[in-house]
Amino acid sequence: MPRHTPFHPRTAALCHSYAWKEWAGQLAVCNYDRHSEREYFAFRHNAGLIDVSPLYKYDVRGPDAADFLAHVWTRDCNKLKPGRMYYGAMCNEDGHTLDDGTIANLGEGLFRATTSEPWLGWYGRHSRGFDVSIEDVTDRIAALSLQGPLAREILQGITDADLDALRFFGITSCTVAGQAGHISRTGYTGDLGYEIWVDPDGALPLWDALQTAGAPFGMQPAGLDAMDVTRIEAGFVLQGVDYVSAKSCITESLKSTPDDASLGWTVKLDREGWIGRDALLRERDAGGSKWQLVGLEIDWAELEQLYDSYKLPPHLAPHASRAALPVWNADGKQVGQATSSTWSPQLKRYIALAQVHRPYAAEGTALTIEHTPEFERHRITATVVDKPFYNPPQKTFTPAKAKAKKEAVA
Amino acid sequence: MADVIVVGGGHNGLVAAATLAKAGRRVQVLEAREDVGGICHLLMDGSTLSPEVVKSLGLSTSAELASKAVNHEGRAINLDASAGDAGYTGWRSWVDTVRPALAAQLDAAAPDIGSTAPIWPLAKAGMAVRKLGKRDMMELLRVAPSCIDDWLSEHLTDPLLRAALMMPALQGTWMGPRSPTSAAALLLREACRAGTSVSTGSLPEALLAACKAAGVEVTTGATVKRIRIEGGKVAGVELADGTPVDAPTVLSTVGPKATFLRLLHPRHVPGKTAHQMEVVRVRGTLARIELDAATEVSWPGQHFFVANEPMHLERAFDDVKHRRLPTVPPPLEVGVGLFGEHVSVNCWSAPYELKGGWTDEAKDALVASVLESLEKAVPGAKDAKVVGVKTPADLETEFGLDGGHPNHGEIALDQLGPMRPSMKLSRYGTAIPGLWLGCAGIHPGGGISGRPGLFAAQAMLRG
Repeated sequence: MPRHTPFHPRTAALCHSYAWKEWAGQLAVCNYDRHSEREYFAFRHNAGLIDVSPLYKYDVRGPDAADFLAHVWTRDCNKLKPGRMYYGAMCNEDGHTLDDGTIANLGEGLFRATTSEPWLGWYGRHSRGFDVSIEDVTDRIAALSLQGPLAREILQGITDADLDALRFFGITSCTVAGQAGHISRTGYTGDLGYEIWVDPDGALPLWDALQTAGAPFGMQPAGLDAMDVTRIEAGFVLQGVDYVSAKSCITESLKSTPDDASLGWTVKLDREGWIGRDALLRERDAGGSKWQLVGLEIDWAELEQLYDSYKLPPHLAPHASRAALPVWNADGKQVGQATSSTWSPQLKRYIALAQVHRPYAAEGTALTIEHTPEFERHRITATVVDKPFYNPPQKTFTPAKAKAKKEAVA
Repeated sequence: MADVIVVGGGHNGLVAAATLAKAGRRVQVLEAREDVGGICHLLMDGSTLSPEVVKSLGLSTSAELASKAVNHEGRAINLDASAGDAGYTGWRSWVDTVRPALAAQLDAAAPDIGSTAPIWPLAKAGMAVRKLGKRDMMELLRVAPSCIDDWLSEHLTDPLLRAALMMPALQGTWMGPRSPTSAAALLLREACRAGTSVSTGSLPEALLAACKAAGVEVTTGATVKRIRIEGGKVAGVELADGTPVDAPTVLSTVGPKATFLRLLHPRHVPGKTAHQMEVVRVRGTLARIELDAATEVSWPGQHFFVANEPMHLERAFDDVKHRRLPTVPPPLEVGVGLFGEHVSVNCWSAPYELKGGWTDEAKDALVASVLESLEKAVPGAKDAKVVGVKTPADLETEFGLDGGHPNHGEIALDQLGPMRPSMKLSRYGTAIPGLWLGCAGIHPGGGISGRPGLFAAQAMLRG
C-alpha cells in the first residue's frame, strides 16, 4: 500500500476526483478536480501548489562530501558554492543514465541530493574510500513546490527569506510559516517557482499558511497531471518516460547516455574521475551519441484536415500523453519516437518530446509522427523546434539584481 | 626518474625489480619496512621458489629441509619413506608422475579465458594433463576436488605422517583436512616444489644483492600512501610524508586489495573492480612466536611439525572457523635457527577476526596454548623465553598484509588461476595505463614462489 505524505490530511480533503497515483511509494494527487485545467492555468497565470514530498532526498556530510558527489554525479560538485544548487545526472560505469536530480550545498559541509529513484545502495557502494556519511532523509523532510508567476509574492508573505535576492537555483535556510526550513528557487514547471523544505511536523502549518497567503492571488493546489503538461512545455525530461534509468532497462537498447536524454549539458568530459566518464569518452571518440532528444511541434492544420476527413472535430487527449509514438523521416524510415506529448493550452500548440537519430535533430527538420483517429494509423508532419517551448523571463529573473543594476546606472 | 616504481620490497617485488632492471629498466623499489623480504621473514618453506627465478637471479640452493614431525607423545618421524609407512613410496611416486602436468598450470601467466584469441596457453595446460594418460588423468580429476584427509587415508596408515604432510599444504587456505577441495591445496604445493630449497631466512639478502647487482635502487622505510593517477595514467606515487615520486609505470606488489582499495583514490577505481576486490577473501590464520634458543632443550631437528593426526588439525581449524582461541593445543611448525638465533614457531590456528579482538590477554592465552602444545612434543620447551609474538593483526600492521594473510588472498579453488584475484586482473596488467600487479595475490599465488613477480615483470617487458 502506498504511504501518505505529511500533507495527506489536506490534499485528501481537497481531492474530490479521488484521482491518485503512486509516486515513489507514496500517494500523490493526479488532479483535484475531474480535470487538471484549473490547476494548469494556476501554474501558468497565478501559482500552483504541489506536494513533492515523495522525491528521494539524501544528506551527504563529511570532509569528502563534495568530492564524493562529484564522483557519482555528472556535475563538478567541488565547485558548488554554499547556497547554490546544481541540476545534474548520474551515470553507471557504462555511461548510461541512472537518474537526474538536484544537488544543494546547504553550507557547513552539508549537501542534499534529490532524485526520482532510491540510490542509497548506489551511494553506499561508491562511497568506499571517501570520508562521508550518507543519510536517506526522504521521510524526514516534507516538501511543497509553489510554481507560477505570482509565487514570489505569495511566499514572501510567510517567510523572512529575501526572495527578491534569491537567484535561480539558489537555496537559503529561513523561517517559513513560523518554522525553520529551506527555500530553493527550483521547480519542474519552467516558470518562476520555489520549493519549500520543512520538518514533517510542520507540514500542515506550512500548507495552511500558504493556502491563506495564496488565496488572494488565486493560488490553487495542483496535481501531477497539470505539472506534467507544464514540464513538457518547459522541455524537461522525466525519468521513466523520456528516458529510462539504466537500472530498470531490460534491454540494452533502452538505455540512454546523458546526450541521448538531453542531459548532455550537465556533462563535462574533460573533468576526471566520475562514474561513466570513461565510457562516455569512448562514445565520443567513436563519433558521439546516436540519439538526441528534441522538441517537436505537430502541424495543427494537417491534424484538423485529418479529422475533417472523418467528419470529426480535432480530438486530443485532455492531458499529457506518455504513449510512445513512432516518428519517421521524409523517406518513411522510422528515425525515433516521441515519448511525451501534450496540447499546450498556454501556447495553443501541440508539442512533443522525442528521441530521434542525430541526423534528424536539427531545428526545422520536417518529420512525421503517428496519429490514430478512429483506430486508423496516419502520419502527420512534426517539425523539430527549439526547446524549451515555454520560457518566460520571470523563470530566471532576480529582482534584487535588476534593482542593483538600475541603481548603479542611475 | 625511474622507469618503474615497485611498491613493496617483498620477494616478489625484488624478483620483479631485478628482472626489469636486468632488461634495462631503471627501477626503484619502495619498501615501507626497514628491511626487505616481507613474508620471507615468516614462512619456512623455501622449496617452492621458482627454478626460473633461481637461475635468472643466480641464487644458491641446497637440498630441501629435512623436516620432521613430532606428536604430543614425543614420537618423531621423518617426512619421507624412512617414516616406515608402507604406502608412502607409492603415493610419492604418483605425485611425482603428475607433478609436470600440475607445474604446467603454474609456470606461465594465467590463461586469458575471457578472450577467444590466444587459446594456446589454455590448450597447453590442458594438454599437459591429457598427456598423463587416461589412468593418471582420471585419478588426478578424482583426487583434486576431494578432501585431503580422504585422499591421504587411501595411501598412508600413519596418522602423524598424514597430518604432517597436510600441514604445509593447508597454510594460507581457510580449510581443515576434512574440507572439500583441500586435496587440491596439497597438489598445488607439490606442483610448486622445485626439488631443491632456498633458505627463506637468507633469501631477502640474496634478492637484495641480485637487485643491487642489476642496478635497482631500493629504498626502505618509504611507505607509499597513494598511487598517483593523472590524465587517466599512472604518474607515480605519493609517500606517507607527502613526497611525490614520479614514474610512468608502477608495479604494486602489496596485494590487489591494498592496491585497489587503499593505494588508489576511489575515483579511479570502477565500482565493479572495487567490489571484486572487496570480496577477495584474506582471512589470515598465522601467528608467529619467537623463543629464545638459549634454553637447554633437545630440539628434534631444524624444521619440524607438531601434530597428532588429521582430526587434530580439523579441531584446530574448527577453532579458527569459530574465531576463537585454541581449545586444543594447536598444531605447530617450528624452525630452529632458520631466522637468526631464535626458535621460530608458526601457529596457523590464529584467526584474524578473533572474537573480542587480539587483546594482550588473547595474545597471552595464545602463547600459553602454543607452549603447551610444544611442551607435549618437546619436553622442556615451555620454559623457553618468549621474545616475540605476532598475531595476524600484528602481521597486518607490520607487514601491510590485508587480513594478516601472507598470500594476499586465501588459497581456494575460486581464488586461483584466472580468478586470482579476479578475471580482469589475473594477468598482471590493469585497466589503468602504467599500473601493474605482481604478488602472491595474483596467479599463480603461492608462498615463497617468486612466480607472480617474475611473470609480472615479463608481462611488463612484453608491454
